[in-house]
Amino acid sequence: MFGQQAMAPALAAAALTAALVAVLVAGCGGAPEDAAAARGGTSQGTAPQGTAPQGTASQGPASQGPASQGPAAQGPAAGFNATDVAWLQLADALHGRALPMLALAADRSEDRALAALAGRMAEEHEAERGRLRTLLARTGVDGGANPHAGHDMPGMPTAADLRALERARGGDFDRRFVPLLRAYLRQLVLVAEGEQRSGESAEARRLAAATARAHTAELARLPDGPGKGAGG
Amino acid sequence: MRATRLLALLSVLIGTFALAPAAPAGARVIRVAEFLADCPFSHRLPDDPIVFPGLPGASHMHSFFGSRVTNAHTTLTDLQNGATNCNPAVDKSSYWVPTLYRDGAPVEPAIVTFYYLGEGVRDDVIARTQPLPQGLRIVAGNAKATGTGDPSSIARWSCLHAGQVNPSKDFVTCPSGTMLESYLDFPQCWNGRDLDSADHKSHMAYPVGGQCPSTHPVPVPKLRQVIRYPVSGDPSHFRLASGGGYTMHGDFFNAWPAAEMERRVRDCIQPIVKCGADGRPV
Repeated sequence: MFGQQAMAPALAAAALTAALVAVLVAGCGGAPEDAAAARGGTSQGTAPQGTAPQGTASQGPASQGPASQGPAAQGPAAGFNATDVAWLQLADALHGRALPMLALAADRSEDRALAALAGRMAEEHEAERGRLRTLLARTGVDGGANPHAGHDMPGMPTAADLRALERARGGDFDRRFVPLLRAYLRQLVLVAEGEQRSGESAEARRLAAATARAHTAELARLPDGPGKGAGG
Repeated sequence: MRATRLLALLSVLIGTFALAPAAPAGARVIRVAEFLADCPFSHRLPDDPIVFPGLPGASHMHSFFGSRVTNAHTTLTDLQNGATNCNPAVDKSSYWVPTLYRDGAPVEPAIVTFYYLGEGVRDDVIARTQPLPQGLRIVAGNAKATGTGDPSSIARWSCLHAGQVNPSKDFVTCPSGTMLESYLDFPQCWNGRDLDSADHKSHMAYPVGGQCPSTHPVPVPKLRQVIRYPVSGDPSHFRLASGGGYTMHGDFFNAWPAAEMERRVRDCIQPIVKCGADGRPV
């Protein structure tokens, strides 16, 4: 999906010319902005003058792909499409948030069966994360940090959730833990279903099918309780 | 009768305007490189066809503007064949932002305007602005921004009809009777090659020193998203689906017909002329 080419010959010429001009005039920057142009986009006359958000007129924020970064990142390797990549990254990020949560159950839960289930899941989900990351590496896209790490996405326990869980004990822990675990598993099943329908890589789709079955079975083993029905 | 005389005067005035010939090119135009599209709220879905293509439900909640059909699977063809609520109706593009919540209930904007601007680069760069290519996808802002001190946040919140309230990267307290508004500027320098990139950002860049960097040499119109929400007062009641006000971001999937985009760039942006939704000088 990305990496699509959009080059009409005329546009290519324009791009070349633009590049040439950019090189020729380099160093002449810093001219004051046209005062009239700075008023653009304020036709309702209500916003203060110079409505461009700070920092965007002269340079992009660090996360915007700085100019020094070089050519645009490549699309996925042959055999993978954008859905494969998005699913692998998101499922990996979901695991990244949930694994620390699973580790909390052993010495906090008052439900021995739940604690045992969480312990088994911690091992199995760690292994599953390894399979996700192996496939992700083969897509050729994952150049560094997961783009969804550090971002509260549906199904992820938040940092505040994890802090509350760390402090909780016994029944209080279980009442908080089960809905968060259920939301996490449901989201894994949901996005795995999307991957099975829209992914391209047969291997990724097989992994998605296997994980959807596994997490559906895990959901069925969760205790009923006040958290039942939460999480969606 | 006084009212009758007023009506007569009014009809004469209207007639005068109706009969006046179109202003010749270059005469009495407003020297602002701009055209626009007004695209109200269309629908809400936890989908994102740029970041999570093919994965319905994967995203935080989004409010979609313009195209009525956007979901997790949307392609350029879907947009071109689908309905839109934009004025002008030729704009089949899709625009979306994280949904705003007040006390947990979604709030949709009352006014949504997408300005296409030349500003941000020198006039000689504006003069060689190229049309935004069909199918181009741009994401502006950072959904993962951690606070108002985070330089990666380009969010800007202010109040409609209350310019005395200082803008902020986070929600501001708007006086009763005014509206909370969000401004967001998209990058306007294209690498001339890719309609998207793996991180959905690196095919675009912001200008540096009034010009586009050599890595992203093609100046295109700067999209400025201006959204007015019918809410005011204590910002502690507000949150975005992505978090605090500083996580405001916008997604754009360009489905303007190439000829309509080209005409507006030629007639409004390059010559620095303020145009309306129809792409004609105002």
